[in-house]
Amino acid sequence: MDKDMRVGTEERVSVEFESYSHNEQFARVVTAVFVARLNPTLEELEDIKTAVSEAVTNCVIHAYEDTVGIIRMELETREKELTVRVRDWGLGIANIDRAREPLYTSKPSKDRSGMGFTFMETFMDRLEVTSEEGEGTMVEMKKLIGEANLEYKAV
Amino acid sequence: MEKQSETYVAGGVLVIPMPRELDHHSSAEIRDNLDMMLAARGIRKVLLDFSKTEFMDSAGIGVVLGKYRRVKAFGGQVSVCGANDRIMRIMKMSGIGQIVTFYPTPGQALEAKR
Repeated sequence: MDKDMRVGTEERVSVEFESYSHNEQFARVVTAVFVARLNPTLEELEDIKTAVSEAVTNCVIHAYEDTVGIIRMELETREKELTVRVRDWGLGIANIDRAREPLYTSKPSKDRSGMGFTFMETFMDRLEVTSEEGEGTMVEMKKLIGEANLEYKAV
Repeated sequence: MEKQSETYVAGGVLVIPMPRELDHHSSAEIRDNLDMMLAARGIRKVLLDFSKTEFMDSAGIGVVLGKYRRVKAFGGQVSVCGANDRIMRIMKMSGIGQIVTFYPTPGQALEAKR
């Protein structure tokens, strides 16, 4: 079989971009294109785009605040599982448990919903957050892409 | 960058068309415009029109909450119309249903507000 025709094995891409808010959309588009090769349902695709949007927005708003820094996004597929890692080298999170609470926001005056981590948790299967103050944060999310993949493999 | 549809007033209701993709980036623009409109015209009813919106993350919840907080102080209301199934699900998941009324279309919302 031609090398380019293989599906269902391991693939990865990584991309770095600056923490401008218009790159929230850029991150979603890149992710959607990468995930499309796993033949996700529309709902799975929307779930993943939403989660990525939340992770990148956190870097823009919280990690780098009014400065511009680098955001690195890694996308990986292993069989039917997608892994997304979003990391920054910004301020870091002082209290991760509190940050993950629904409705908690450190910036209530700016019309923030405080639902960012809740959405990542809801729309992905697994969410892991590691952070160190002054060093940065890494969010790792995983999701199994559903039945659509089975028919892919049967070919 | 896509141009935002214009905000308009109909029957004393400020109707704000939401962008195709409502995220933190696009919501910043909405917030600024809206606050100016509300302050300048003393309008108490706000209708957020999601008819054209295909994507929304938690920033959309922030927009609805922000508008609600602003008009609540002087007895105003916030309504949402035209939201697709996914956006409705996100809103309900976030508890927004307790503070806003949902309508299928802008027409039905404006009719109900008469």
